[in-house]
Amino acid sequence: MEEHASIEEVTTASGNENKYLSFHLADELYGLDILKVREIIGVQEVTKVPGAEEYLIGVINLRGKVIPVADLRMRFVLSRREYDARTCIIVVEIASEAGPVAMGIVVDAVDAVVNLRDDQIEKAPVFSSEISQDCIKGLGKFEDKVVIILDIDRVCSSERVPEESSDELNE
Amino acid sequence: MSQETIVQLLNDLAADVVMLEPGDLSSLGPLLKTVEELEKPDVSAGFEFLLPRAEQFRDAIVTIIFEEFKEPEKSIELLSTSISKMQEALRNGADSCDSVVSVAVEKPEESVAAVDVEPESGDAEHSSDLDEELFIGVDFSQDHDLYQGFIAESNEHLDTIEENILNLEQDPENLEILNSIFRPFHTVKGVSGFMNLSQMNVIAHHLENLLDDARNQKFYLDGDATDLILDGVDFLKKMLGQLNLALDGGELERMSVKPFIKRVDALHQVLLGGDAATPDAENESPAPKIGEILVEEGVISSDDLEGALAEQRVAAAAEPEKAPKKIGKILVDQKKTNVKTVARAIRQQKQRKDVAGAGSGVSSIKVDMEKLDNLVDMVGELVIVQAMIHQDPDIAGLVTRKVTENMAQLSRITSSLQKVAMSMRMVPIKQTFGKMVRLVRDLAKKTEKKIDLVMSGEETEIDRNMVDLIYDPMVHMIRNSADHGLETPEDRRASGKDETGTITLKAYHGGGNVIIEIVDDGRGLNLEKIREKAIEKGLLSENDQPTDQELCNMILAPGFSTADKVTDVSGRGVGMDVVKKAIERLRGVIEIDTNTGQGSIVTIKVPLTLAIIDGMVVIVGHERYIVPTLNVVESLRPLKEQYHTVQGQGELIKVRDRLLPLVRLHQVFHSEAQTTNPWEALVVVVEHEGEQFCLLVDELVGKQEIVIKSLGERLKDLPGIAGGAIMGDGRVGLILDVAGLFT
Repeated sequence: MEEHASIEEVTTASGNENKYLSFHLADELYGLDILKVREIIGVQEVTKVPGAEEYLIGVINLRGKVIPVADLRMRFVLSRREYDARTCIIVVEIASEAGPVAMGIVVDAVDAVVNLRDDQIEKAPVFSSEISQDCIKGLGKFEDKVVIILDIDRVCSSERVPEESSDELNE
Repeated sequence: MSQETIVQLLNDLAADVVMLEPGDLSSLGPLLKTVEELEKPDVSAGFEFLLPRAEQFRDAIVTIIFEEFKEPEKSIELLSTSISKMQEALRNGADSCDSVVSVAVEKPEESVAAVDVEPESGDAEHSSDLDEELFIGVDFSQDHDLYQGFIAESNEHLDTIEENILNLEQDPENLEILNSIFRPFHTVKGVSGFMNLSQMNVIAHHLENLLDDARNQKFYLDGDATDLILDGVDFLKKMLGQLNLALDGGELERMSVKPFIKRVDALHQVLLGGDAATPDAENESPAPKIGEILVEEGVISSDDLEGALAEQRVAAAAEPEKAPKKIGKILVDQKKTNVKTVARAIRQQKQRKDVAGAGSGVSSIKVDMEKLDNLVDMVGELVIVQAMIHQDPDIAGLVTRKVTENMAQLSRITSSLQKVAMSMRMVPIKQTFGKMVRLVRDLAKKTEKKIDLVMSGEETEIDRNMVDLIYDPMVHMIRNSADHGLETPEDRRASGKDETGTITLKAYHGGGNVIIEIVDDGRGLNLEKIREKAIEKGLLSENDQPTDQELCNMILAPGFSTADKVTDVSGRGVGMDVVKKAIERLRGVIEIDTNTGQGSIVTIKVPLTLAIIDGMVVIVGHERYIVPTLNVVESLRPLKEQYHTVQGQGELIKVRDRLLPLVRLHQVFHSEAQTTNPWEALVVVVEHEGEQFCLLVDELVGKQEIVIKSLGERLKDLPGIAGGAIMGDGRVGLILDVAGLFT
């Protein structure tokens, strides 16, 4: 029913509608552009790569290709938690200089695919969070939920988490 | 004829092209007919400016039919562009059409010769009066990819021409070879015409005319002609280079095609005027007849065929004005076979024709490298999954015959699938060898020596990526052989040898490697001189007694050249060590041996592929790492007495009277190890560029062939890690970079 509602809205309201994959991460709901998602796989044993940034927890074999895996909790400096049956790896396509590359991100659980119109997405306000501002594309509102839309290219880019986030952590 | 007719014809063409689909050969026939209609003198009278376009159009169709055009979608695109240009030209009259066309209208004097030679082509030549500016009227911003593709393809064609021209020199009467030179020229001509590259088009066209007459046995191509054709190839290659520059927006040289065209035409005249060539009775072997194919396949007996042929003759005699009944139809009418079988036979006949036309029994297709890599990856996964299923305890518990048999079958299929997938990346080394023919020929001219190049094992296969990398070292060594190794004809006569020196190129597989030998029968290396030089360079002391082979290999040291004079060809004293380095980068070995007075042998040994290495799998803590076997010297469990420390920090292991630094892998990688005492664990002695050190590891798993995988952009420059590999259990293991560990 809820889905019906959102589809009807497309025709009435203005703005483009895009699909987002929403997932849970430490009590919050996040979303990323569905076009960036290649597939979702279960958590598997990861080979640690020494010398890599900490949140890059290692590499896995994705059907014959070796791809890096990032733990999103670690990336956003959230508290760590044991992987469970709902933990999974979203394989996303990241833009890089050498063209799109696949990368896995570990999230607590995948939620759903949601349709959001541009006018349903607000610019993210300045708030104190561990997440640096430029990783967030905006806040999507649907039903009574808020989904934090991530700019996954930024999230997975090689730049480190800005220093201020660790300051905020100390507060 | 009226403009309406032409407009109608063009419209028909346009409609047909729009309907055209890649690979749909049957609809090309009508297209061809329409163009021919358009080209008829009575139709095109008054509209001659359309003719060159029409010819190009026809050429392109022919090319598509012969499938020389590698990308059918693009060729169709070209066809439609061409049509719209013709239509445009027609609308605007002759004045405003593009350069190729407007030049063609003028019908310059010089080209008359060529027109005479080939009256059936009947079209205007577009040769002279071309602006010396290259690539006029070419819009590079559009169709960038198209031009790139054209450059790559044309270069390939030109390479083929080069290779075959040299074969032709050995056997000038061989029609097969002539055809294999003619065809690529034809393609280059056709495509360059479309691409608006009029100058290339003109060169290719003139050379094609020359070749066509040779093909029609009006004359044989002598040394001058082959030289000229080779020059033409160089010219075209240079133009392609310029085109490439132009694509990148670079500055262009001014090149004039006119003098070259004149040379071609002059030679053409000379050849035509010369002794009337004796027509060769030998014809191209025609494709077998349908009937014969059917007999071969055992569908009908030869008596049936005789009967059908007789009927065909009778029918033809009865109604001579009618086209003779097709043999296939007669056979179907007689219920000797069915339509399907005949259709298959016709396809086969066409195939055989194509094969005969291609000059070799093997046909091939181009495949995107990435697709191939994906296939190899997937097959690798299949092998792993198959092994997992095989080792699954539940399945292993099912000891029924059926399961065992099927599992065995599955593993057989997967392993042969893997072999096939790997072999698809392999190409014969022939292509690289072929380039050497030209090289040796040029070298012989330059050094004024007589050199024969003998090749064997051209079919030996090597990784596609390896082909390019092996080329430079080979060129270098062949140059050396030709310049320093082989003597001048006089010297050779004086020492009782045949005037003509021989360089032999050999390739074969051995021990998982490709071995390439470059053998010359020249004077051999001057060992005494090398010895002197080595002592002078401090590589050798007066008292050393190296073997001949050790001496020979000293010339691979940096800055080592015994050549008295620096020649144009070689002898600058850098080089040999560059060759050695290049080969080592390919994880290969180069060795030199000599027999004074009788020549020398250079042996290059490289692995079959760059994608696979031999690795030693070791375990540290929970992780597995792979040490390239090339770096491994030995592995041992040291005694406590062999372990020493320096100032309580630097750790050393004494191995065979040498003290080697100890590197604890778990410390470097900040991981945990099962054991920390070297005398309880194992050390692997590794070597990099002559320096050795010990790696502390927990366990040795064994040696294994490893397919190297990149860890991707993000993780590529990590110290001590060269890449990843997928292990037998489907997980990823890391390949160590020994050099990075030590620094």
